Amino acid sequence: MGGVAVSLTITYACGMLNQFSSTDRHRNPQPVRSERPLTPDDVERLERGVTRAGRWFAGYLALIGLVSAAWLTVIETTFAEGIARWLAVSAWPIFVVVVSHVAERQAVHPRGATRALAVATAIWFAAYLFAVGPFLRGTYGQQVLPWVIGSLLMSLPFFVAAARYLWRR
Amino acid sequence: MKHLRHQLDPVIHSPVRFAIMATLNAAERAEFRFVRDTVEISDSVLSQHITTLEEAGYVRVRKRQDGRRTRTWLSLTSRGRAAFARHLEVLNQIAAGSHA
Repeated sequence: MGGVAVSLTITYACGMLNQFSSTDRHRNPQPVRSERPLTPDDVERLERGVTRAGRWFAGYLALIGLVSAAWLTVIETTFAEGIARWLAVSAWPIFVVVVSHVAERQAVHPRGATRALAVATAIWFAAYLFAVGPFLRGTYGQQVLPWVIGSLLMSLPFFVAAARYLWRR
Repeated sequence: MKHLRHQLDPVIHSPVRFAIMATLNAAERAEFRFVRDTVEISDSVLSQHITTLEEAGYVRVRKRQDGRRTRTWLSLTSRGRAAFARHLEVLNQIAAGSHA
């Protein structure tokens, strides 16, 4: 932050001389008169604004983690067999479409958001398919409590990513 | 010996474009209106600077239909992030008083 602040001071100090250089004149035939010097306060405000606007993503990840845990628990315990299971399974793509729509309505997607979501989803899915899922199914069958705990554990990547975005400065 | 200021990126050096780059650098992508309000400039001024940054290959512009409204998303390209990082690095070196 300090480095950026210093940088901006210099940007203005020596940058204003170059502002209307030949390169800029070429690119901006009519220089923007509304440009004003940037101060360190401006930079902090910019960064705070972007960070604040991206905080929704922490709640978004936490919501996905919680709903994923609830969904897994339901399809493995309450609706473990038959047509009810497949109906419950089909609710997942609907949820994904809804939350994706909500995400698209936000003005800012924080840096690394797509990767964070993809990594958390991949870990969650792999754990369900190959590790925690088979273990719980084989050991505890359709008992609710083990599945609640196991599902929450599988959602940990979402919660960890959410915490990182929540406390990001 | 050439002063480090010669290594500064003239495209990024304008205060408004620097602010736009700094805003986008903190985000994966941001909506046009958010950047406009954050940097406190008009639509036309932002469009003008975005065109410059897009021509330089620093910013990517994507338009998406959201109902009746078209939303414009702005993001830095990998080249833009690298150029911004390099620009900052040079500025910091100048601030530190070191010369190439």
